[in-house]
Formats: sequence, C-alpha cells, structure tokens
Amino acid sequence: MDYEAIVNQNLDAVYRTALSYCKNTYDAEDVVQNTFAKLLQADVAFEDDRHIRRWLIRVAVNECKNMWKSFWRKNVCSIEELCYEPEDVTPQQKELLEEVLRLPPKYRIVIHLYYYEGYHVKEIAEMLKMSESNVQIRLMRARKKLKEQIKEA
Amino acid sequence: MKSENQSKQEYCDAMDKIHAPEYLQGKVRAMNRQSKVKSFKLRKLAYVAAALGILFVSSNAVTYAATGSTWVEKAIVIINGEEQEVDVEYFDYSRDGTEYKGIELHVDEDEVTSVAVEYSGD
Repeated sequence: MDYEAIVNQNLDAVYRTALSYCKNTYDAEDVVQNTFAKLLQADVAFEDDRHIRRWLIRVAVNECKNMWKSFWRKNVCSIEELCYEPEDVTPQQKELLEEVLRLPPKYRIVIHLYYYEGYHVKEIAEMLKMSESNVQIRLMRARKKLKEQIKEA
Repeated sequence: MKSENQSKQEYCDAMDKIHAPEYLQGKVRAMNRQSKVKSFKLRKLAYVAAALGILFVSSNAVTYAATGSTWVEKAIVIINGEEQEVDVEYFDYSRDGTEYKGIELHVDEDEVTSVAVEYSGD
C-alpha cells in the first residue's frame, strides 16, 4: 500500500490516539508527525491494513510515552487541563470526554484502545508491551475511576 | 446512571468528531524518508546550564504573545564554554492556587527541544 493511502486511512486514528494520551493538540501533532516519519523510515513488511493500524498506534503510544518522560512534561502542567474542544459535540459527550481525559494516561490509553479502536485485550497487551492481566486490571480500574468521577460530577 | 454501552457509544461518537487539522494532514503527506524525527530528550549539559542560571538576556525582544502574559526574548547560554543563542519565553500560570512564573528556553531542535526553569514569587 502506498504512503498516501496509509495516511488517508490512518491519520485520524493516530491523531485521536495521540490526543487521548497527550490531552493537547500541540503535543499530539508532534506525535503524529514523528509516527509517520518513523513509518517512512521503517523497514516493515505489513500483512494487512489492520497490521499497519496496530503498528502506527503502537509507535504513537511510544512517542507519547517518550514525550512524557521529558523534564518539562513531568514537572509542569498544561495551563488548561483540556486544551482542545471538538466541534459539534453534545454536552453529555463533552462531559464524558472530559472525565476520560481526567484519568491518568495509563488508564486513558487502554480505555481508548478498547472502547474506541475496538482492540481485544491480547492486542492491547502486545501494543503496550504488557501482560494481558495488566491490561484487564487497568481497564477495570479505569472503569471504576470513571464511575466515581461521573458520580462526583 | 448510564449503562456502559451508552457511555461507550457517547465516547465513540465524540471521538468520531475529532479530525486531524488540515495543515497537519498537509505536513504529514509532504513528509519523506529524510524527514527528521523530533527528539524529546534533553541534553544534560543544557539542563544543568539552565538550572545554574547561566543566562545573559539580550535586549532584543522578539514577540509579545496575544494573551498578554507571555513574551519571547533572545538570550545567550554558555554551554561548555560555547555560546548558544536561545529563545527565552516567559509565562505566568497558576497551579493549586499558587502563582508561578515559568521560563522556557528553546534551543536547536535537532539536538535539544527545550529546558525549563520555574519559580514562584518575585
């Protein structure tokens, strides 16, 4: 598959994944560019479209983690918690998005990959390089934390 | 209380409305094998230099941001005896009710992204 077709099919998915981890558009854009730069430089024989999507998302998550390891991100918070507002969302959707974004990054990413991208626990474990039981625990804790947050709100 | 399926559907509907901006689409499509991967690592020496406050601010103010609370100057940082020009950005922000002032130094992107120093009070 040629590069342009891969970009057309996967750019939004990579952007949404980066946004769900980074919570702001500036970092997400850097992650997206780095991810596709690595795609161009990689020497990987992809089996199918799903393989390409999984590879891109895994690279995007790693890029997000590298960014968050830096001194700046560790020690300084964004001026606003939610630095982007999607257009045309209902108040309920906006509220739910905000609650998901309040979760710690390690919970946000499993929620996004499981519920939005539709990956199975095994696939998420491979992408995030952790055990399946760890993914299940994070999903369970993320759901519990979300319920508590929504109740408080 | 909403069911898990209802919440899932609302999250998916909200996410479906998020799209990469057009300028980003253009940038990504225009990339090639020579495109550089931006590093987020800090060079230790640059970090130490900033932490020690070895900073000489020049008189050239470059920009004043629209918010009114940030502006950028040029500065010279001495690293290992060599002068390096950097953009110095000052900004104000608050966290947990405390007012902070931050300084971010932007250096050559090929090697270092940024170093940051923050302080509170005058």
